Amino acid sequence: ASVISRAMAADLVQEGLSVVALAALAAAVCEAISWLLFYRTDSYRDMRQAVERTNQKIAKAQEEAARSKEEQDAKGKARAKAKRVARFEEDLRLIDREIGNFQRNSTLAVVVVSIFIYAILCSSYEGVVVARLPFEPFEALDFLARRGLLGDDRRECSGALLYSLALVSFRSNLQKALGFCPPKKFAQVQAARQQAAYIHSKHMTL
Amino acid sequence: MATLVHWLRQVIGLSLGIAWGLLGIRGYTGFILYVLLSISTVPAICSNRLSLEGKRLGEVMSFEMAKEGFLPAFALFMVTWIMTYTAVHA
Repeated sequence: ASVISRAMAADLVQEGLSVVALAALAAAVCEAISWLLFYRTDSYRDMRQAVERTNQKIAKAQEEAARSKEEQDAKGKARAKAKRVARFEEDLRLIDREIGNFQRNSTLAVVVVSIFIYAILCSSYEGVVVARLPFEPFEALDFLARRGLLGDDRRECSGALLYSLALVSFRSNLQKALGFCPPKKFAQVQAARQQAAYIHSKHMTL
Repeated sequence: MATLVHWLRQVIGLSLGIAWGLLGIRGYTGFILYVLLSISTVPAICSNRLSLEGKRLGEVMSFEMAKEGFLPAFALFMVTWIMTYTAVHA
């Protein structure tokens, strides 16, 4: 019985690994499409350079505004410097929006290809258990965890769940490794700096 | 800084997934332990091993950094936990 169960476990691992490999391939294809339609283009490069230039202008303008406040310059001068910072921040928001609009086409192509690969996976792994879950998933996730599976065993894992998890992980990590990430949105960068300054001011430690 | 936090989180996700699978940890305890360890380990490593302090450490401890790489690391943790558990305890 233990030989049979070891053989079954080996089969399960093999199925699981083949699903993970398919997810890795799908992630590579999606990133290749993103690179071809978006990251490789001159428009993206120009927009990225515009973001970096504007960030530098904002940093410089913030320094000048802070210095002006410290030196207690005339109210009008300090206000003008603060307005300058706000203007550059608005320029950055517009560039963020432009990047988002331009990225829409490549995102659409990636979604279409992802759906196609997902459909192939679901039909190939119909009724096939690819792994054993160490937990019972919520019923709300049954559409993914038990897709195409028969029987009542809630710890059986379908190809769809494993594929989705692996794809999320591989795509993000591939994007990070290859540098295929649009620059962080201005609002996120600002929020991170404000939170860091707050933590530092309260002398929070571990 | 964001890149460092991202990759640290991936390594922690991978390690904990393998560890949880080998130890046979089951149920939602595994998730809760993972989330707690993932959130606390990254700033601890940055502070102790990398000697970050002041505003840079504050950046690592911020909510924005807590989100950095969390979802891909969680997905990686799930995949490794499921696969290791299947290989060892199925």
